[in-house]
Amino acid sequence: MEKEIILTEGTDPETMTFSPAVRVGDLVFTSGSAGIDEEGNIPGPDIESQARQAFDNLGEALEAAGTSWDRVVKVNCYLTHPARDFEGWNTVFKEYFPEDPPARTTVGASLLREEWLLEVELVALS
Amino acid sequence: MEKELILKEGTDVENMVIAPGVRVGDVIYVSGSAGAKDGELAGDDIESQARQAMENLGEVLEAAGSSWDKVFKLNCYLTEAARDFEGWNTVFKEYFPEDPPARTTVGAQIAMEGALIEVELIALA
Repeated sequence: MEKEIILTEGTDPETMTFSPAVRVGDLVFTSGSAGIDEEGNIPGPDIESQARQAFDNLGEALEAAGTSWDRVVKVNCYLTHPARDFEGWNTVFKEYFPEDPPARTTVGASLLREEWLLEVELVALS
Repeated sequence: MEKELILKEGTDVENMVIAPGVRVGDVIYVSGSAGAKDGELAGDDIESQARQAMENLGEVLEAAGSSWDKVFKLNCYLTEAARDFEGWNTVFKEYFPEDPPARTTVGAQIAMEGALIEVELIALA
């Protein structure tokens, strides 16, 4: 098997610290994404808007890899306020996975910025 | 497929709690490592601990016959995520100057007193 770097639009392979995603065999592994845009801004102070932004970022990586949401097999999520935000996270999760959802783990963690509420990573079939 | 344990020099098979690494098919899972050697932290700063953690992981990669360029996913846990993110990136780039793996870094608590970082990775054999 080979390791294939997956680049999203606007990613500069010369300056990036880590790859948006990597394909190995039939699997695509994404890097963790917070709910921030390309400029590092959050769309809002709430879990729903940040979760949607994180998923949209990950969706770009999936698309760049030629795969899609229905082929996601595992999601890991880190919440800075797991008790408070779990329900909102579930709401957004269900929007992206209305049927045949992936396996998932959600735990509490701290993130780089106080206002960041979640970070999400996933594994998908190619 | 079989599960093959990856041991490194000095691993006491009878008493180990976790395997340093495990190979399944073409993939090697390496256990999380803090920036300590023989129970001693490499220093009190993120760079020295990150380098030590990576050196520890490198020993397992080598024992598995793999190498840094074959690492495709890496997860990092920092006890002071905001403060140490930049230093962690600096060391990360030393090990992955090109074609870096996918990566997730979050803040977490680590069992070892004074430990600033724990790193785990997945690589091709």
